[in-house]
Amino acid sequence: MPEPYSETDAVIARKLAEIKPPADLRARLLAIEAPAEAREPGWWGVGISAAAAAIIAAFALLSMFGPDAGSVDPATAYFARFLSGPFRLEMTASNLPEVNSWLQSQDRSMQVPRSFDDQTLIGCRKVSWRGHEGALVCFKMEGGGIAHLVMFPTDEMPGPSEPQFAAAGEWDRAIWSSDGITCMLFAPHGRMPEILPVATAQRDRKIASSIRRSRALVFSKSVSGRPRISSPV
Amino acid sequence: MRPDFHQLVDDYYQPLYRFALSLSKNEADASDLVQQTFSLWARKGHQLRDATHAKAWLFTTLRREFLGTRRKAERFSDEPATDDDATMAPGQAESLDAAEVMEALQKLPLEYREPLTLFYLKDLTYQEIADVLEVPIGTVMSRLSRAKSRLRDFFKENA
Repeated sequence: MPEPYSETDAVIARKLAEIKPPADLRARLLAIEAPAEAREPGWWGVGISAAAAAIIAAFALLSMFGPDAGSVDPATAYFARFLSGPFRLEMTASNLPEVNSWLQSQDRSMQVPRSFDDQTLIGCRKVSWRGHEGALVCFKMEGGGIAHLVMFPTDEMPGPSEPQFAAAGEWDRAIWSSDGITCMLFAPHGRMPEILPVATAQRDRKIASSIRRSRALVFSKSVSGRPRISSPV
Repeated sequence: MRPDFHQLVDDYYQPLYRFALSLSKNEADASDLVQQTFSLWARKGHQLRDATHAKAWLFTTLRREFLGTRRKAERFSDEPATDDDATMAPGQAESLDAAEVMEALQKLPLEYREPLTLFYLKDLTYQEIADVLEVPIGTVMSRLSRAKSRLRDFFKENA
């Protein structure tokens, strides 16, 4: 027989109910969504018609990097919220081989692109989004701040062959796909130019060339120091 | 019928977070556990035959995720992950704030902490607690009794 519910039980239960989760946790959870309920044509726009893609891409270019950037794809929105909240790193590491071998031990087949070799690593963890299993690697940026690389297998989450950009929450995001890995790179607003070329320049001439174009088009600094589009495509 | 995802979040993310916090003992890990639980629901929830078991599924999954993480932490650490000593610091239920109550719960050994936290969350029946913990209901009763006794001792000692 269960013990009777005592006065002390009531007090403890009441106090326990006073504990509130982090303010943004609900939003982060809602961003996960159930695949069956929120199946978009593609996670980042893949699967939509070329015309629609062009319109969306143009809109994204026009709206990116601004503090009032419009809605972004669900994965970017989810990880932007995730990265802004408290989260745990499953391992800390100072070199890529260590991270890559840990990822392998965790059944994450992707490897961190070698172009990140020179970055100062903090650590990594597994992440998942709508059932797709990926990895998150965190880097210290020169001059302070942290950049985050989210990786998924391209066959599960396809990405564009050239970097594309968006802004979400406190982050700027670049996404590209190469060598079977779709990379989503998150940097604090206005600081993508500091890390994106470094992260991808050695990797792929095509991407490097795209970055140079993107920098020319996108990364001119405003008077306040925030990047803005100077010549939208 | 599959429960609405948003409704499930709204109904259970707070008690799940409190349960996770009592297990993991820190906010970041607790948030992670809740997110991982709902991610798994998004992926596998449709496999649940009886939608009325969604609540128990969420609590069970969160606990399994915690235990899995704990086992991995033990693998990657020289020291085994152990519970804190069961002896509790001074305090009294009525005079404690919510955080102190959580801290008192966190100081219980895991086998007592789990059923007691679920009991105080008041979201689960005894049978559901037994299902979540994957033990017989009699074990839940006896662990609850011992857990409450430890908590009472703690409050008495610190009155």
